Amino acid sequence: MANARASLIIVTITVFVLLIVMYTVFNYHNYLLLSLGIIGCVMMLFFIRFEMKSIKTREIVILALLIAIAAVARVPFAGLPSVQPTSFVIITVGLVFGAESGFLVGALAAIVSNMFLGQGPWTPWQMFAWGTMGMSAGLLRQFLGMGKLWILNSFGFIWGFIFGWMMNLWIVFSNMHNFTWEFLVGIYVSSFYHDLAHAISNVIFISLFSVSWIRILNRFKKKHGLLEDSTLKPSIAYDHSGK
Amino acid sequence: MEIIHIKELSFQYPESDNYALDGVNLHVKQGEFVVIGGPSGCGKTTLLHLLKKEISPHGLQSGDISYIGKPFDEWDERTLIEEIGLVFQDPENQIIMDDVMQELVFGMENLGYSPIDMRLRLAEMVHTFSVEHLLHQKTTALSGGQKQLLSLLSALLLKPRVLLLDEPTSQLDPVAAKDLLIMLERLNKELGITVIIVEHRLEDLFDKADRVVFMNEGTVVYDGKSREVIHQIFNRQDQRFLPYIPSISQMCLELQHSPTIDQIPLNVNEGKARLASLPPMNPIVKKENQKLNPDAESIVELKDVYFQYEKTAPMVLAKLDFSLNKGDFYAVMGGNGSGKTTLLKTCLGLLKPQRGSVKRFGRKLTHKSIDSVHQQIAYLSQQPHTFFIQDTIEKEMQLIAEQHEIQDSEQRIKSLLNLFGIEHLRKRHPYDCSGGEVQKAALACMLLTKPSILFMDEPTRGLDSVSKIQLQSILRQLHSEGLTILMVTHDIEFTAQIATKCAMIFDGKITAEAAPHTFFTGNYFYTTSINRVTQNSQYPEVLTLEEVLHSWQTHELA
Amino acid sequence: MLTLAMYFNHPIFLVTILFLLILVNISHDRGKDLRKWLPTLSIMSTLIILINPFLVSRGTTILFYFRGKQVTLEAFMYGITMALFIAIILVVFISFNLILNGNRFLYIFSKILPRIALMIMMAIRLVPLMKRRLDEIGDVQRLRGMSMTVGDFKTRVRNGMLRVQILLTWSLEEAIHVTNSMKARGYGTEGKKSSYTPYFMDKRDWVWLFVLAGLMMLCFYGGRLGYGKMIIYPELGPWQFFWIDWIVFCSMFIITSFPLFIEGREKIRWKLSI
Repeated sequence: MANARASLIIVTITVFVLLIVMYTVFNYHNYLLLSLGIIGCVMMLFFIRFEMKSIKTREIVILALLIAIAAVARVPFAGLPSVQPTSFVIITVGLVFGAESGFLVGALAAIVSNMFLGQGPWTPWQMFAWGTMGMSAGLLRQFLGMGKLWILNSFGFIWGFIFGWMMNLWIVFSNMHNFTWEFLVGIYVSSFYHDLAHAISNVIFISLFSVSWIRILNRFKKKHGLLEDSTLKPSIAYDHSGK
Repeated sequence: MEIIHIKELSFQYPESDNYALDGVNLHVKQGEFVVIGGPSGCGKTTLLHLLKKEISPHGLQSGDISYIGKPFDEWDERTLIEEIGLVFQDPENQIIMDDVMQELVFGMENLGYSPIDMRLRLAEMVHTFSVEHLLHQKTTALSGGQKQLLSLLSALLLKPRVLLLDEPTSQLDPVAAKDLLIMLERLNKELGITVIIVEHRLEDLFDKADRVVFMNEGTVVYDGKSREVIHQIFNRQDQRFLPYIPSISQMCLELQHSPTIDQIPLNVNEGKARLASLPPMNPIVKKENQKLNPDAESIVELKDVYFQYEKTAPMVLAKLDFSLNKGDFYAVMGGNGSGKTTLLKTCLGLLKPQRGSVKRFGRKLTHKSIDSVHQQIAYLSQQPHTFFIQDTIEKEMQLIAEQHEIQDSEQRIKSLLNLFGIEHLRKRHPYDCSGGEVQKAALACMLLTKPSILFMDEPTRGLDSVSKIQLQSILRQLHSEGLTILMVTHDIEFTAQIATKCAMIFDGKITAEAAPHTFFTGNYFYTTSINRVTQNSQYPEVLTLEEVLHSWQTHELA
Repeated sequence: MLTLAMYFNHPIFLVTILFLLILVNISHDRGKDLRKWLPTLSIMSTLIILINPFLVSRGTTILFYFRGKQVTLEAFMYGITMALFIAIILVVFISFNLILNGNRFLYIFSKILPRIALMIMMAIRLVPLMKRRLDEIGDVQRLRGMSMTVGDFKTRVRNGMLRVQILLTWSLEEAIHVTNSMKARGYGTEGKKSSYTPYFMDKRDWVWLFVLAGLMMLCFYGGRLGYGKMIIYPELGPWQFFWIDWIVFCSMFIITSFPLFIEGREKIRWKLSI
């Protein structure tokens, strides 16, 4: 199996290189395919890394569970269409379980929720956007610590926009033939209110719930010794602020 | 031949001062049907999990467990996985896959069986237990009983010689529970599979078991044939275990002074025979029926209610009339899918009927009134822990007191905790409590707002006998203090003992409504086992053991 | 297919691809999903065809003027190819959805990334359970006054997330049982896993793959030389096919109808044997 995966890595990298070569040498201007290919290759590398890691059965269960929760988090908000709770779940997972788990939960939650809402050309972008959101939350903790609520809040706010911008890219790339700057700006302007709502709901969730969610997940993590990155110190900052 | 041999087994969980198991000795012969019982936390589940090596909990372990003469450590992992199968308590938590087929082959795939071998085993299994109709379904579409059957089958596909079961029926309704037990009996008798089952609903199991083991505080207290164990418990009047004895056995033991062990009946048939051989008794005046009080004020009233879940789905409630009067302790019974829960949710205002009117306290239910007048209503769901938001019971109660601006809250919290006997759980996380404890805690929280109606959905599901008796006395007290109660339940024995009014829901309507005594005594199938024994006997028909003890004995002496 | 559609822009090519794809889709589920999308699809296509000529005024063949702007035949044609293109994308994704949401895709996937595939399958199984649990939690919480319909926005958002939080706490507690159930059936043991649904690449599959790859190359090569494409801007090119166009067209036809051929073969055999 390890052999098969090693060759998979090679294949992925080769595809990646071929795409670049195709683009630059052959003047083959298919941006949608190119961007999809790049996204696919990047995610593939993450997935393969995860496959090759030694991991406990329990951790697989927890990740699957968090993916499912991220995917259904929208259900109670059926009456409030502008609220996007999935991002909050993914950010929290990244904060507590680290960058890699954050990426996995983000990327796979996109697939799973689209199984029920409908897959489309947007699925890979969504996977990538939520994946990097989870990952960056993990990195945020690693480099800055998560002591301050305002850091988290601004992080969530910014991500509300980055997510929207990433999702806009698929529209841009699929219409590269008649690309104009006006078109680009038009798309980004038209998604502004939607992205703002996303950003605000992130801030609301983070300020109301990050403390309790991190406590719940940490309690569980400690109880069962789960998904602990040995490089990281357990964060204790939140024990003070929790009421 | 001895298949499992446990010698001086002790076990201690990390961060715990007490032994979960303390010097347990147990020998199980090939082909035996062993039942292990005992109160929550007695160590029975720990024992069972230690017998399944892959999932044995971490902790300090001493003593030996051997399988067919060799200690566990000397067996290879694979053999133990295959030959010792385990079925867990909650059907929801042991199903991994989305498709029934994938779920069935999950174990075989993990162990790397060849596709041909898998097909063969699967074909054999499906044919033997005629489950073709389940094979291509989604696992989420199955009923609880079917899910549990699926878990059993996927363990059987590995051809186990020992089958361990951890409270397999506790989440099932009585009909599905009986089916599962019959299935186990069949596996035991026809295939010679050794069965070790941990259970707290033992009424039906005493009859099937070759051996019954009772545990308490990590040690084996009783170990022997069903009748021997019953005899011992009864003779010692061991209050810890008396509630676990089947009511039929207990009745005959109470009536006949010092019977021999063989005379103890384990099922209705034996009970009837036993009763017939007892001396006749003076006819007594039948216990007077509690009058249904039609004049009482009706606080929930449903008229001409029709309900269906989807446009194309059949009507669940059709032209249903129902009224709950002040002071009632009303039990609605009925089969699976008969609409019991739908009725309850309609009364609660959670479901809006397509037609008909729902009135509460004489006023029509609207969206607004459901959300604003909630403190008069308490709803105990099947999953009482869904009530809790805070991480300790105390915080939860304080939050409620704060929200509803309750005066002298601390005193009320204290008195409620005392009433329910859960003062010691005050600082506990609700999820670290047992099922019975969470239920009591949730009730205590709800009663803080002094509701006038309590709605309960299957309150006895998953409760062990002791917790059930405690719940019974709590509910009795609350009812006597003026709380109106509506419960939906499968539990005939529980209803017979506690309700003041029963009804059967069938075909979308309330078909029979009466006080429990009248309601059950006429029934042929749908009644308590004591009643089935006493029907057509020389004794007056009774419903419960309590009744026997109160009304018969005094007369027998006379 | 998607690549092909993006590569060629000759309306005849596109129409053929679209037609074949619709057939493929019908062979999957008798076009049930397609019918749901049909209104969106037709409205979108019509809009694009109508709007493009009015927005873009490139091209030389002027049909008429609209408010001083030229409306060209080229822009009109471009709109049609765009519409066809988008329709193809949508149909591909409807098919893609059907295939992806069937577990067949995941079985193949599980050969390469077994853990990821298992996690996805578990999550898919968990979603309906989680939804049911959320309903139960919603009922209980609503009756204790945590409403989702009454109160200001912030309260409602809070109450909504509280439900998810309860779900999280509840489900995490149960995760340990799920783990036990997996371990009890040998998950995580040493040794090779097998698969009940065998997906082997046999000799014939390789031959087909080879043939398809060859045809694909042919298409690309033909496309690079400019076949299968129509010049739209600045002036609408000729409609006719050269003989190389026909070769490219045929390769494309075979590639696109391949899934249809696979799906249909079994059905034809069934029909013939009866």
